[in-house]
Amino acid sequence: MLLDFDAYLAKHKCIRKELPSSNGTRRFELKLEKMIPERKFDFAILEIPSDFANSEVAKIRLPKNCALNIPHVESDGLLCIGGDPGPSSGASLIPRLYLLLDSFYYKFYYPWLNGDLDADFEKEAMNYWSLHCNNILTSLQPIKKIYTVDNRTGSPVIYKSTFFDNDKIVIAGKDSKLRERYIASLGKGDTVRNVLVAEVPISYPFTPINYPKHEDDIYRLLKSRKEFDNNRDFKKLKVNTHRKNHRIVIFKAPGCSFGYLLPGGPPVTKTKNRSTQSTSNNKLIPLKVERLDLSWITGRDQLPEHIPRQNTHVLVIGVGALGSPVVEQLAKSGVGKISIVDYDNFNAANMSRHSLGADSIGISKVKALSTLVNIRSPSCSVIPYNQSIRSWLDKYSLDDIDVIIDLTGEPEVRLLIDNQRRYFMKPFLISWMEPYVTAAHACLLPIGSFWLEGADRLESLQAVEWPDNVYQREPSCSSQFQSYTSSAALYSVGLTTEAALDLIDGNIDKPIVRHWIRGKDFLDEFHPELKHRDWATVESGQKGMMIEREL
Amino acid sequence: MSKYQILVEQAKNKRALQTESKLYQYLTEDHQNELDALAIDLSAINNHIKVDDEILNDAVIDYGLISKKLIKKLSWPDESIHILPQGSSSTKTLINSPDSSKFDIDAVCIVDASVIDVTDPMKFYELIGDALEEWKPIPKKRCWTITFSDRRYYLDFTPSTQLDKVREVAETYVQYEPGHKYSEKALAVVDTPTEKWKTSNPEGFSDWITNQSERLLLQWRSEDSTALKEFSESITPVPDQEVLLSDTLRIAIRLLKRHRDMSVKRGIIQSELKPISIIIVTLLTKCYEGLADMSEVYTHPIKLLIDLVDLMPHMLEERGNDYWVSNPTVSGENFSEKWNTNSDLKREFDTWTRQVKSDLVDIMDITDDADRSIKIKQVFGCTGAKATDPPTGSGLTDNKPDKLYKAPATKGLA
Repeated sequence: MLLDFDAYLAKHKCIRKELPSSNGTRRFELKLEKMIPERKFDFAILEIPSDFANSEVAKIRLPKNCALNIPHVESDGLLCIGGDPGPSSGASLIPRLYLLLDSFYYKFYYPWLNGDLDADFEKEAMNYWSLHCNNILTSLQPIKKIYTVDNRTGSPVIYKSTFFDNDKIVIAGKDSKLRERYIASLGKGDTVRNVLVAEVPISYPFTPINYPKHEDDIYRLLKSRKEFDNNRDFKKLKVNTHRKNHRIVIFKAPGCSFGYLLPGGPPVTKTKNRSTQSTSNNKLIPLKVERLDLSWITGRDQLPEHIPRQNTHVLVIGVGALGSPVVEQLAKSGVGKISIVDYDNFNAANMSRHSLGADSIGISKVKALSTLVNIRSPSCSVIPYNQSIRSWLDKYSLDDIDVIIDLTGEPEVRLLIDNQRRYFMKPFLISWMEPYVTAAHACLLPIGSFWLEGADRLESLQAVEWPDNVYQREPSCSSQFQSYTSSAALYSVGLTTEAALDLIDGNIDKPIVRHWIRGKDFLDEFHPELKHRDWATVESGQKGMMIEREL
Repeated sequence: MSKYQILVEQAKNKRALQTESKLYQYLTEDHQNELDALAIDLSAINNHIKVDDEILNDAVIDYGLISKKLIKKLSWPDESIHILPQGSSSTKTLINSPDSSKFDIDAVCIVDASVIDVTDPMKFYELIGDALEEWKPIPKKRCWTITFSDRRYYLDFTPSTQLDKVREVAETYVQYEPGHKYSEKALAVVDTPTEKWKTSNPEGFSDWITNQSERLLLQWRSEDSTALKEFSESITPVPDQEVLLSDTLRIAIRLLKRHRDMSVKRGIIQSELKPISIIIVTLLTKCYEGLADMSEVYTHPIKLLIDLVDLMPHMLEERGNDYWVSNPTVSGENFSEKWNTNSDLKREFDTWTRQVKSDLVDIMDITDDADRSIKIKQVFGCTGAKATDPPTGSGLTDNKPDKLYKAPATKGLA
């Protein structure tokens, strides 16, 4: 086989002489046509690694200076075009090499010579921008990265924002509330300074050929916007002798952004060998921009339904093993405000199933959880109420709540809220788990539908017939409550969160109940007498099922 | 004096008052080398951006197929539908987009007025839309857009009928009158926002461009420039009578459309405000017609091209408080009508025309070949340079795998 492969290498019309190598990788020069100056590169090397047969893929390398001049070339010169399907494709060595060379010549080399790849820079604009920024990055650079908080808007704007001196990062955003929450999350006690920011929307991403190279290029692009005609802020931005604040410009294309630090600004000091060096920036520096706006962080621009959730206020009653992860998930799904009500403190027995951990033992669950979620998901504001729902209702109203979620499992809570809903028309979600999380249920009650139809309906909706010796409610005077695992509970977290989001998004127009039910073998693990109710029987061989029924 | 001759005179006066443009100096001073170099570059770019005839031929076949199916579906007599290209496909000024995305190919579908009810334009428009159902047409202002997954273009299908037949019907109002010239080629199309007939003259407009472009402004001989002569000879096959950039009007149109598209890519102008092609085409052609009426003579194609580009923004008319780019083939139609209610459009036009001039000056001022190539690529998105087609005997045909091998998905979601 290897002999065949060597013969193939030796005979191949595109493979020229073998080059010396020091690391076991075999390197071969590839045949290139005569190229016109604008598209010329000096060599292409086929690299066949020592373990090509078993675990590694062959690659093609161009000169390093091709990066940012020719699409698909990485900073180390490696071509990123795929080709070799690898040993796990089932192909033997010769077809693998054939496919790599075929890709090189017909998907890269000739299309490049013909100008057919020229638009490819635009397709992966952020990768090339990142490469460009890395090429220029220095340790004395006053700012290294920009985080943007606001969505891309149609008009350019200039505003003051925040810059962390030690981390050399800018949090750019006009929305002061959201920006402040990100400052709290990312700042970590760093020195905060002001920075002047111009945000300019552009229709298409920049590509290496049209990256602004000089300060004048930046001003020319800004000046072409009518918003900057006789704009006082723009004049301030143009003052080159600015010593107090740094000035940055962010060009926002759909889906990606390009930052620039303008020359000037306060000097950067660096201490080395007991001497302090102070340097002023006199260059235009390209900066990477990472988005923190809601559209990106909650759905990578592909889930537009997350945006309206930012204006939603949800009330979650009960932040135990089910409630705490549900609150986290709702915050990650774009919900803007969550009020959480629970009178309980976090204790050691909760640790294995709760979102909180040892650092919260003895602390109010709602306070610890709100701190945690607010730091982790700044787009959501979680407000803690360390009290019972009854006392909460004495002080506050359901009037400004959009959706109510009861995750206590307590009949008194369901009753209390259901009665309140006769005055405040709000959708209501009740979710609970059966012992061992053999089943979980979510009742979705849109406006106008109620939980109580004579009596509490929870028992009638359960999937499993429970013998008397299994506790279905955690007893206040016993520590014998049967435990369940965090992983088992996560199924019900998913069920509950999705149900909550359906109510939040207004997708539910009639009362329904959704069930997650584990299979019989799961039940048998815990108790030999357990059996499903007829409607909830999971077919033999199935591990579980999810069903939806009208309520 | 002809009306466009007057406009050109006025444009020259306006230009003389402007101090910012350096472009004009290349017309008066001796810059033979710069002009030759630019001619070679722009010719190559023109070749790179223009859409191959092969694609247009495919579109003609598609249109023919659609019209046949329409006749069959509507049980109309044969020959009751006539398809006529319009827009840049008929004026031969269609260009590839910088990112190789799909482009529009427009055609009017002229239906014999005797087979339709001309009193109700919307009924006619909907009838054609319904008959096109199998292609899932998207309704637009005056046309239906059809997308084929395996084509590089969209087809814009504009239902129309003979204008005179529509006008014969008592009390049928038609927006705009046909222009004096080419009036016999005018058609009636459906303007869906107003639900009325509107006069259109795609064939007349196309004839106007063709007629003007054939007028001889260029008395340029390749032997005047050794560099250009050598370059012309290096491109084979070139008919003996063909002179580099001789079709200057169409080339100017293509280059300016490309420059506009690239200006959007460069962030200089905004996509939703960019000057529309019909304005660029009309201003340039009026300028060309005015120069021809004045019997102007140019000794180098770049001099003519520069003059067209330099004068073009000043060909915009101001009537009272309104900007006007009149359609020479439809009386009363103003292509720049929207500028009078949205001043951002005029501002963007001004920004763009300033950029065109500044870029051309920059290109001509650069003496280093490599720097010049970079600048041209930045401005036009290509250098125009093309390699030969890939050779078939590169050695890859041997040992071709007999089955498709794919790299396994290396990552599950985690």
